[in-house]
Amino acid sequence: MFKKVLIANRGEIAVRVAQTLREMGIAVVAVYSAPDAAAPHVAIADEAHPLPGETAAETYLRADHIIEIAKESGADAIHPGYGFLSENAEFAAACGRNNITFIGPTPEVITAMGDKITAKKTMDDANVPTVPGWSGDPNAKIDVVQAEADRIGYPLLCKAAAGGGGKGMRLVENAKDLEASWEAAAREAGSAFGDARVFLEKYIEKPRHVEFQIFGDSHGNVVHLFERECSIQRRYQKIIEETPSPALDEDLRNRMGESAVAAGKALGYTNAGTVEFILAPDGQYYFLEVNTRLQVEHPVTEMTTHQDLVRAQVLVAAGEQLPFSQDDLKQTGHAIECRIYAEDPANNFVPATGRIHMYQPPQGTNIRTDSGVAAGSEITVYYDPMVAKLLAWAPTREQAIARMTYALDNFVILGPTTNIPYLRRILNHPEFVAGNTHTHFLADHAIDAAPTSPPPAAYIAAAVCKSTASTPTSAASHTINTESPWHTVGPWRVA
Amino acid sequence: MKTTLSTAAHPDPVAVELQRPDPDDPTNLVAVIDGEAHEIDLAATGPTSGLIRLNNRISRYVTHREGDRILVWLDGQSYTFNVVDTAPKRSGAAAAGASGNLINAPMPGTILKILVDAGDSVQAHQPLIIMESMKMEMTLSAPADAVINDIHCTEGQLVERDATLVTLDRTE
Repeated sequence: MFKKVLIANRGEIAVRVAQTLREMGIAVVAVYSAPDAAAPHVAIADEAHPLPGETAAETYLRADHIIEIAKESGADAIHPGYGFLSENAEFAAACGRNNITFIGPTPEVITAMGDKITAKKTMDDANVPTVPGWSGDPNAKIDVVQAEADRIGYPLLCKAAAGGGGKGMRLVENAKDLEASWEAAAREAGSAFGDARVFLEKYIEKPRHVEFQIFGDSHGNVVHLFERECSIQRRYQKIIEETPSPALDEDLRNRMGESAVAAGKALGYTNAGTVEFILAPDGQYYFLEVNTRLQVEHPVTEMTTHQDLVRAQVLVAAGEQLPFSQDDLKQTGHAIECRIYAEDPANNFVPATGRIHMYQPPQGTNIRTDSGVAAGSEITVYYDPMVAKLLAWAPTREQAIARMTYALDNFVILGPTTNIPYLRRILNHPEFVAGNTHTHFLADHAIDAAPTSPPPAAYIAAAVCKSTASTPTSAASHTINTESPWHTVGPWRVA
Repeated sequence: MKTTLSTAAHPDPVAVELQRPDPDDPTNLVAVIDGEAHEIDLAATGPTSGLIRLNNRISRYVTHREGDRILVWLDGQSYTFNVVDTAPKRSGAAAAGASGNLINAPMPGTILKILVDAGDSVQAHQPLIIMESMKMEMTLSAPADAVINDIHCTEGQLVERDATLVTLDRTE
């Protein structure tokens, strides 16, 4: 087993990976950019090394610096988290050349699945259903693209071959918008991924996003850990995920699970991966892509299967057998994840920056918060504005929604504006409660994003704060020693 | 002590006063909000947090003060209050810049493309700037028919939120 593992990431995922590594008795090496020097992922590590610079490109994307630090610190392995270098095949290969284990799939599989066109061909060959489309040709004249688009039919999607997370993706409603969208997708793909290839795909209306967690080891075992429904998305970014999916019955779950395992076996998949499908209203499902990393939303799977996916990643990377067989894996209860973003829903979801003054995640049975920040953390423009993932588990979906609502209502963040009230409104929308989710849910249902007017108690709290802060007096001067908390008068001054 | 507060959702200033009508009973508190008196109970749970009981309804709060801004979390919602300066308001100055003749960055990001030059005549909705923020592309367009007065950014430049990128003169 590894003695020391470097985590090539930041934020909540770096903290979450470090927790499991420390549980396993493995020393943790953190890396950090200048703005992250005081971040929680540094505080939890056994040793921490600076990456000079501020932007992602200068820091967490510098494969060369990270491998150098791994060698200097004597790390046996690197856990890439998600994002940054996690799906960079060249980085995975460079780890191998330096005798450092990359905790993830092989560079070959990452390359094959990172290219959406190759991925689709592989799935066609493995009899995994795929969406009708055209594989694209960077040298094609626009009239060729137009002809292929006519063959597939509108509406359709222009998608970046190297894409993911909705970047380099454009919906085209009719022929007159094709040329502009094709070029915009290519430009965005070029700048985001350094690869401007774009392909076309039939657009499924009102689809659900249902993905299967798969896991493989180097002994030929591949299993699935059931589905996650991630249909609640805004601009192709998932914001609420849950498992089980309200749309799957036992038969469909089994068939999709078998397809996911078939996909994994066709690839010789090792470590954690996610096979994403789109599920049409008629129950047809189509392969979307394989994410060759641990997903942001992996904790909902952990809560319903009672497995630690990071631990399994580490064991498999060290050459051991998977710690579970398909028969060991059972889904129990219902888990929901809400992604907490520093952004302003009332102001077109503009990222909110600045210092977090107060940070108190909710407490309670079967409530889990994976945080990347703490009180005093600074939210900068340099990285993703997700500050935490809030999770709730309960025996049923209805109870899980109620528990998540409670958790959101008790999550204190003071500083940058967050999407917490917005998440609460989505969660309690009648169509969400009924399980009628699809990827256009947020576009189709107007969710009120306006800030609420403060109630009288908020004015009182503000007045108390002002009188306290301006005249620091001894708390003891007004304290009366009785059992009732109402008689514990605070240090504010009145009159 | 009287405090005058405003918020974005409720910009009209509201006067709040905490009173202790009975000097012998420090727990007897009255909050006067906009002239209306409410009997309240307060309990501190920490230096900046506590409970408020108002008409038998109990609210949990956490606060933070930063100069003239007071941040309040109360029952799952966050509010930002501005402590209003009761001195006479400055006149005029604030009105400039709101005329819609400035194209400002809606969020921090990088300028990808500048599609117009100073002196160009542009039509309403014509794209002027393509910028990238959080890896998403965004097109900033003319609000009305106009002539470009000046360009205040360059391609590749990192800009702050609300930075003025283009000034224009409306022609309609």
